[in-house]
Amino acid sequence: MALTDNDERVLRCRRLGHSVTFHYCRTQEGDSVCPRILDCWWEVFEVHAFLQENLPAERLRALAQHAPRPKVLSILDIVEQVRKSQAEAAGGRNAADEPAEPSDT
Amino acid sequence: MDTPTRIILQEDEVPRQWYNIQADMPNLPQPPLHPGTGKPIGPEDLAPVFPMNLIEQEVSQERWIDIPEPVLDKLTLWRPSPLHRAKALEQALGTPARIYYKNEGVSPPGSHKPNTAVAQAYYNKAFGIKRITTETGAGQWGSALAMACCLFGLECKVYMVRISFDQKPFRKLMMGVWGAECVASPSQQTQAGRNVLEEMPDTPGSLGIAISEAIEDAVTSENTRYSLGSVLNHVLMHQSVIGLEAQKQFEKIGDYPDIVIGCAGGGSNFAGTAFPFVRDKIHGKEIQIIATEPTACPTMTRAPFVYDFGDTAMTTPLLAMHSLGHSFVPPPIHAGGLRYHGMAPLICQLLLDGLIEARALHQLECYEAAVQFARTEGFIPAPETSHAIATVIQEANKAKEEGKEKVILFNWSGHGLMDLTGYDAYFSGKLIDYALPEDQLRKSLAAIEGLPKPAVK
Repeated sequence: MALTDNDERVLRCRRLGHSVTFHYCRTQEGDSVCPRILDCWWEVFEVHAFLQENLPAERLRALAQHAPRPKVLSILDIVEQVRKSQAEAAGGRNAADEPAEPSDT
Repeated sequence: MDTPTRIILQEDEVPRQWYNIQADMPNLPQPPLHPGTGKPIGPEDLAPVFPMNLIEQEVSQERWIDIPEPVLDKLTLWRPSPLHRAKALEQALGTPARIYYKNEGVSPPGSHKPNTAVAQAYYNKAFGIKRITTETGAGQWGSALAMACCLFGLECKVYMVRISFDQKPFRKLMMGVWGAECVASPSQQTQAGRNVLEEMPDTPGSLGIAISEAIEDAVTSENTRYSLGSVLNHVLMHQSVIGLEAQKQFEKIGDYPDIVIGCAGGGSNFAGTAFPFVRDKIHGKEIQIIATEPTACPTMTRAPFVYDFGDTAMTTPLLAMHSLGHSFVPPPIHAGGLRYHGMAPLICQLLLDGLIEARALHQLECYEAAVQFARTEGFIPAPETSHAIATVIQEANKAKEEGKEKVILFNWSGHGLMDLTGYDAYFSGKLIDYALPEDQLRKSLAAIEGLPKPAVK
């Protein structure tokens, strides 16, 4: 199965609320496929076989083991990520803003 | 039984309280555990994202919660919504069933979504919040929140998934009319968006990215909180006005439903219609309550309820879930048990407890039903609403076969005037139904025979 063989297939995405192509589902975040791709496309064509052929085994495994989480946890995850990146940014800024230690010379 | 075509309540008959089903559920869903502490998530964990008055509602187990007057003032712009008797549809079907639908398409944005958007905007304002962020796909939720924020004088920022932003321009324009700022996601306005764009400048975006942007914006901006249009307990509770009004309307005409039907995406429209009737069922009423969904991307249906392995290597613990068998579709359909992304935990629990049932439908049957509805009742339904209509037609035909005068209620959750391209695809034959070959399904299910079955009432 070539990578683009199924790209024109169209399905209504229940998350977005409108039609999308299979191409979107397999590339929506660059080379990362939608975590629900198997749920949505499993009865349309052999999507598992397609992904087996076209995804590295490690990524397919990660996709297959993707465990949906309660919405509240997903939200908290994002909050945690934001805080972490804010802290990192603040750390970087502080380091850059701080005057360098005076050298002995 | 002769009833009016539209059963109308007066403004002062709008319910004064929301119904919280948690007070009556025989079993409550397990609270999610905080990944850091391992303890149940508490109000403080949610405080950066939601105002405390809404968090209190999220965790409340009070049966009735008063609707504040300012919320009622806004809801009465379109509420009480009419309960229609679908006489022309009944006639076309030749059914003895009496079909009623709650018309939630009468709200300004054309769906049930403002029922919670208005409440959320009010509580944010009452908490001192000046600005609300959210994400949206096609824009049904974004436009509802935009209107609600406008009515309460709040700023609203909507991160709309790029592919939807490009494909569905009209709801974006609606948001603009209501004064909201709608940007395509990923955007340059958040770190999450910039990171994605740096790597993939041409990405069509995803709901995941849009959610990240909306939450980042809320967490890093002053006087700003995030808002979600479905799934959460308080959202489902705000929608209970639909079912509560319907109960009053039935009382007025001396009728009562045998079957209640709603489509379940994230669950709020189904819950809003069904939960007050689930309460009656818990207290002894004989009533069938059906949540409908598409066969594509099902979250509640499509396979027998079994214990299944969480992965193809059969290494994870047995989980209670709807399954196609571990040897067939890999775990996304398995791994989360009933806690799927996008489905409300309260609905999953009611399904587990046998208080409601779920049904999946193919898209062609749904469009056929939607067209029949439009050609008899006049209103053009949203594609999601068509799932409920198709189920209504199934039940009405069954009543005809059985010669029973069943009373059917469903939620006409929104109009399809912004979704006409879907109808175009249907009329031009571009939509195709697919079915899993039975032998493939049997083979798959054979692999899980003999495994313990969960106790489903």
